[in-house]
Amino acid sequence: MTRDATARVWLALTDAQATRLASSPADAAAIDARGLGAIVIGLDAVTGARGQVIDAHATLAHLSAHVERTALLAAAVPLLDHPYNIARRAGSLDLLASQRTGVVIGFDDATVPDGSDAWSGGGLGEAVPFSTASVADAIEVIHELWRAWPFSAVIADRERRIFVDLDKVRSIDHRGVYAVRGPLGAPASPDGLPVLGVYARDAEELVIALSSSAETILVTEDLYRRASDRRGGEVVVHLVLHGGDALRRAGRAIEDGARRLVVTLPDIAVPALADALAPIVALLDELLDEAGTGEEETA
Amino acid sequence: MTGTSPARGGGADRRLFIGANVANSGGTLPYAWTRSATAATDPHDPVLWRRIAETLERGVFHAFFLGDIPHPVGRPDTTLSKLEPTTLLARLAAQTSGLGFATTISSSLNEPFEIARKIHTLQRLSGGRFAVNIVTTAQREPYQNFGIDEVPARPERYARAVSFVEELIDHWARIDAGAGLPLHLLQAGGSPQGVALAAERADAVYGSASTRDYSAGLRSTLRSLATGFGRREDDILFVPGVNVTIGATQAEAEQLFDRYAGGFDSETATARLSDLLGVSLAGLSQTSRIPEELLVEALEGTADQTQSIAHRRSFITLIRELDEPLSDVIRRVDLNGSGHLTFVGTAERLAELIRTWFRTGAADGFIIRPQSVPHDLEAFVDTVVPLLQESGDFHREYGEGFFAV
Repeated sequence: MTRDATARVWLALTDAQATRLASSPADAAAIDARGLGAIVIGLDAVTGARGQVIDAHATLAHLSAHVERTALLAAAVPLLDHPYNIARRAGSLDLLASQRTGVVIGFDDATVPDGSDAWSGGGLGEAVPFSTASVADAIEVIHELWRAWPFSAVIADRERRIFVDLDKVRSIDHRGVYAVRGPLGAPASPDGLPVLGVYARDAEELVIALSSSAETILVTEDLYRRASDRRGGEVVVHLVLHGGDALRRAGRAIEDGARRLVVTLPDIAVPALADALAPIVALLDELLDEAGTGEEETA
Repeated sequence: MTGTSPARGGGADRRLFIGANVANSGGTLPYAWTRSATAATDPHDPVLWRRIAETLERGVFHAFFLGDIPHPVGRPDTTLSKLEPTTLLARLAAQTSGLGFATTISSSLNEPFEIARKIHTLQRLSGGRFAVNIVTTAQREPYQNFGIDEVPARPERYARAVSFVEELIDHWARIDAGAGLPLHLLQAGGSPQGVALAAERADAVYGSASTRDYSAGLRSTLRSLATGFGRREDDILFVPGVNVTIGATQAEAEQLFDRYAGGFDSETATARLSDLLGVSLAGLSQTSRIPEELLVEALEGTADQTQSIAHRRSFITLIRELDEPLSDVIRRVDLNGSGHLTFVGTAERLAELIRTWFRTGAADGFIIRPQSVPHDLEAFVDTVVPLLQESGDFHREYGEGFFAV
């Protein structure tokens, strides 16, 4: 089993699991050793499976101290949360973490009070009403901001007392649903840009996700075919696996053509999660190997 | 306020509250980042930040404070990358066990619900070690990242700050759902609106005061205002900032300060002092004292919207007290214009200064602002902290609760 092969399977934690794992370095290290493609936090709020009210990015930043290899992604919904803030938080974590990190943009946040704007403006500026269009524009703002200050601009020449080559740092002057000048307060990581993913739950969201600048599209099972027709290997199918029918459903998704899976195991508590994952990852890998065409995958 | 302060009290068992504000990974001096020849002072180096946090924890600091301006400063020589503070502190919380963290949030550029959810999450993950400092951003560039072309007027910004805090508290109660995690509020800044908000709600105020008398006045006002909101005087701490450069000798400290201040320019510094006092000092010789009639004129002058009359008065008190030539006075004007006390000298002198302010009721502690990182932080922990512990003014181990002193 190669690392690239196992990277085809990702783990999406429930909020309760994420909270527990972020406070448990040993369990985090054990899951880090499972060779997963990525750990995703915060999908409960996006899919409506709400439990606790947690901040996915803050939880991920805390967890990043104990997970060194597996890519770390946090769900982020531009609902009472400005894309500039989403981009800068994710950019900062990506600079600090040794592995790839990033965001999965969602179209809804079940924890936010009903009727909230995407951005209230705080009475100081214009409000941005929440809509699929505001989410679509937020994705583009984040995409542009991450490219406005490349790491190569950091010179840190102590003799000449020049830290940054400002000629390489630019404003984005974005004018869409949002008006954003940029740049962020820190450069992109020397290792590259953060992961920009989108989670689509229905046909309308999928259309936006597919035409966006996102590099990774997470979808529910029923959307897989439509998504893969356009974006092939960039599509990751989300499976919430409960007890008995879990592996049968995973098998069906793979028969359907899915080559990357993000699984949620809501019934398993954190201390048992690393052990429970081992056979599941192995079996899914076997199924993926049988199905073939997993060779191009890297997370 | 919504928090608890179990070990706090006046009287004989009163102890110092000490935090650190690491302005950026270099320090408060503009060229401190050039001090180390290695990558260790790069602002995004996770190893350096961890070392800073562990140093603070070794020194039993109460809090690691970070400010925030969500936009880079546009100068190639001193524009250092600024990480988003809450993200950085969230990670450091997982690498420490006793140190507290105070992150800064702009009420102009954030939503109360999102911040309540974030800080509550961090309170839970860190075991109650997070506090939040609400500020109203005053620079133009950050607003332009949020679709606002000009800086809103001060009254509008403060009205937003007040409603932000109220909503934050409401959302907190709902999210907490009886779990009992306290919302700790720290307030930085000295505007009348900010002080009033702090007196009602904050656990501590991080202020700027360049003289002991001025600091004592601020502390006394704050404590008295707090009682007007039904709180006890000891429910709120006043902790001024102090920029520190520490040397084994006075001469060494001064040499370090001059090197990383960027080549001291007496003309610029004199102009800065003229601004602060509201009178022109340009014609004065650097070796002469500022004439008393100029100080009187400064005292009688009016300050514009960005100047603080109270701060000017405090500085004039200092000038009279010290009776120094102009060349020495201008060095005391903080390079960042932040109005914080600046200390350049030995550990013994710094410990004495802290002790004196603390014991005479001018402050409940200090926020240490290292002028060169990690050097001045490590020097503080290794040489100043032991002196304060030996004299019984500072604790030796962490107690229960963020503001427990």
